[in-house]
Amino acid sequence: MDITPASTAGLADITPAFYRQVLGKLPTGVTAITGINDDDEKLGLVVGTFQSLSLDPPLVMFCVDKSSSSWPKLRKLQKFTANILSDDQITICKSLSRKGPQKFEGLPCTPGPLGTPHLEGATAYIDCVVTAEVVVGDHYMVVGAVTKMEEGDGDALLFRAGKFGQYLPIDVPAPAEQTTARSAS
Amino acid sequence: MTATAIAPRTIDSDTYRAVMRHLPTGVAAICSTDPASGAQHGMIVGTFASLSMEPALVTFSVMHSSTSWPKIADAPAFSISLLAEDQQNVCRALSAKGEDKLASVAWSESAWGNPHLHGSLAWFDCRVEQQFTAGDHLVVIASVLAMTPTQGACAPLIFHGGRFGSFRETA
Repeated sequence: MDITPASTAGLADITPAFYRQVLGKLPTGVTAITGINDDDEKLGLVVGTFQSLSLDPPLVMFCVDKSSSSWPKLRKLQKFTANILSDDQITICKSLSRKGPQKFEGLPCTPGPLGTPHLEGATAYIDCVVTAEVVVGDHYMVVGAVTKMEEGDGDALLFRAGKFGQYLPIDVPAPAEQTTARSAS
Repeated sequence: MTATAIAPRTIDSDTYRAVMRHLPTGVAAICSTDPASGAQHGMIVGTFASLSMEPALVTFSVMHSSTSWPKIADAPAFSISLLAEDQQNVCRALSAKGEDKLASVAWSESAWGNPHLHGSLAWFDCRVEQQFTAGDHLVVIASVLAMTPTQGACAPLIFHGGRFGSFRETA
């Protein structure tokens, strides 16, 4: 189903570059959506739009660019694992963001309860079956019903304005004090 | 009750929350001005996300039972202020129950008539295009009428593991 607004006439002319620039200010987690097909080919793509959606029933969602070559293959399987990547998985993120079939080479993973790959070292694993998909503008919006979820290791990887990063708790001592403490010797 | 007991592999709320705590989110304030009374309405979401560049669309979800969202959506347009790391007080003020949540918050009216909260990282003036129910939440799809980034290099407010924090670029 396509639910793209019928008419956006009269709206400000927002160029893709400007959209990227402003939305780049939004920090996001980094989530690998993984699956495996009947030929034992592992499939995966990385999104910054994975979100919690509903507690009861348990649902999650993400958006994927229409130009993705992996999503049409993953969609056929109608099930996936959302691997919330940890801050030491930047190389995994880069591997899965590449085009081509060799994405999973050298990436340690184990099959989850749905058979879909769980990437070792992720901070959480959410196994889902696809329950809805709509076309909205230049993206697909996918809703998954959660069949199993478990915590992994490490702390989440963040992405913002084209840069990877880590979560920085706010209630730590001021940076100046830290520096003083460390240089006290 | 019987149906719940029979349903296979039901994920309980505690498990869902415990696992989803691992997903860091930005924090956005959704606000509008009531066309009838002139009063401001506002709420906080942790689900604001980019959606489509052409046309320019954004999305977020709200609890189905939210009392603030129907009031905000009553206006012809609404705003999204993306919060900076020093806006925890704004987050608390808008998360509270009650009327006139913006009373303690500095804001200005945008060209589209929406409150833009001072000190935010970016402001979006939006119009609701679609809403659909997904479980206990409502997914909102909004077109972007205008968007304005702040000029400064402020750090974002991030909610993660049940706590506020910010972003540290990986060296």
